[in-house]
Amino acid sequence: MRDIILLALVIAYPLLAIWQISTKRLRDRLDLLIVLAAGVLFLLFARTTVDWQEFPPWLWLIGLGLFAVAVALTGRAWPDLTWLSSKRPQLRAFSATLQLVIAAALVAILL
Amino acid sequence: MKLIAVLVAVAVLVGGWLIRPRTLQLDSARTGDLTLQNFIDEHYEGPGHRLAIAVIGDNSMAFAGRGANEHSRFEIGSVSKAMTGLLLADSIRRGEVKLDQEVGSLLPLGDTEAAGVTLEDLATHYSGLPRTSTNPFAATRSFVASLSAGNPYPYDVDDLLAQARSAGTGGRGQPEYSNLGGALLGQALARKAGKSYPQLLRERLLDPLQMQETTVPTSEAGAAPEGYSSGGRMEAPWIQDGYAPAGGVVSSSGDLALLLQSRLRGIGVEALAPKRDFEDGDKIGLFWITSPLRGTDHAMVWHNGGTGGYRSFVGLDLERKRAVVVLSDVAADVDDFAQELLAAP
Repeated sequence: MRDIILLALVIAYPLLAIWQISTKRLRDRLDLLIVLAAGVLFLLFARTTVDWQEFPPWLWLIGLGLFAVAVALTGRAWPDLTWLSSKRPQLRAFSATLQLVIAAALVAILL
Repeated sequence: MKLIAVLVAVAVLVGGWLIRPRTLQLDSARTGDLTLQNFIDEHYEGPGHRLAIAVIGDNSMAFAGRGANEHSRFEIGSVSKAMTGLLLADSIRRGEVKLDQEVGSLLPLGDTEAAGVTLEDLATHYSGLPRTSTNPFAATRSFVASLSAGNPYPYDVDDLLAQARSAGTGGRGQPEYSNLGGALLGQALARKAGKSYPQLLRERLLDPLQMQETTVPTSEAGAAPEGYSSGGRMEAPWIQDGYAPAGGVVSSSGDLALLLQSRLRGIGVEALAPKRDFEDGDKIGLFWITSPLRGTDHAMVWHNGGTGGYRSFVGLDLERKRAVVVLSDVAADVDDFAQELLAAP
């Protein structure tokens, strides 16, 4: 069951990211980076923990392809976004930085 | 900016393709018995890389492999517990320990819940001890190690004892598979004999059976080659010290064939005899599990094992005097294949 949920996330999350980026639902560039970092983590976590004896590896490649589309779409969204858009910029900058540092650490473990 | 994003997307695709999960195929190099090679061709379906199999009778042995032969070394994971069960039966025969003896009388566990668990509880997974340590630091360390394709059991004997002291035995009296319990039992037998676990195993089981390719690695130099996850990721060797009795042994199909043939000849079979009910309607002896053998009206006595990059299975049909060994360096279960091999005419 855990593997099914994880594989569903690997495919559904990039779709959600594509929708958020293409419909300009993200507040700023930090939001965008966090969304992409989470996508990387889902992919790597699935690669590491899913039992690939039970599930065909091409499911992961679908997630990878959709995620690459989400990355490509950032090129359209990026110029219209500011780095920070918040009433409390310091707190938001700290929070976003922390999330990205944690994501980077997890990526390093999972690679 | 659009061009940069497209280039990053391409890099993501290329990088992802390089590290993608993939189904490994069996090595093309065939070794050993032609009939068994054909059996592999016709029945092995899972992902594979190096594979070694053996079929043993009380007076015969046949081996085959792909990229491996009867001398190739594999991590055997929890098949180590089956060896520990044999050591327990031997220690009882020598009068060193008793099944109803509390492990606290053999190891410095103080006035803890674990101390009151009997050796039989440990050998039948009735101790109530958790599968592995529930200590937050150890659990986190093991989880991170498993995510990073590392060794989740890097603990020495003192670490193991500390983990046992802090563990609860809430489920005692019900079968609940415990690596912690298996390791504790092996270390208790070694302590009683005044030896380390590798010494005890060598002197009482491996040397008498001339199992010279079987070891308990304590460093990377003595470890088996790196294995692979089910998705093809290379996994670090599991070098275990404290947990060695539960999963730290490295062996070959040739050596395990010697071990099983001696059981077919009636040596040390008391460890195999069922003592308690186990999970899924099975029975359990001293770590050895008894189940119906699919496709037959016989029972099989067996244990399987797994590490980050390996899977293993040893099984015996005592009625037919037939036993099998299946070792793979990919962490994809070989149990079904091994049972087909054991049930084959």
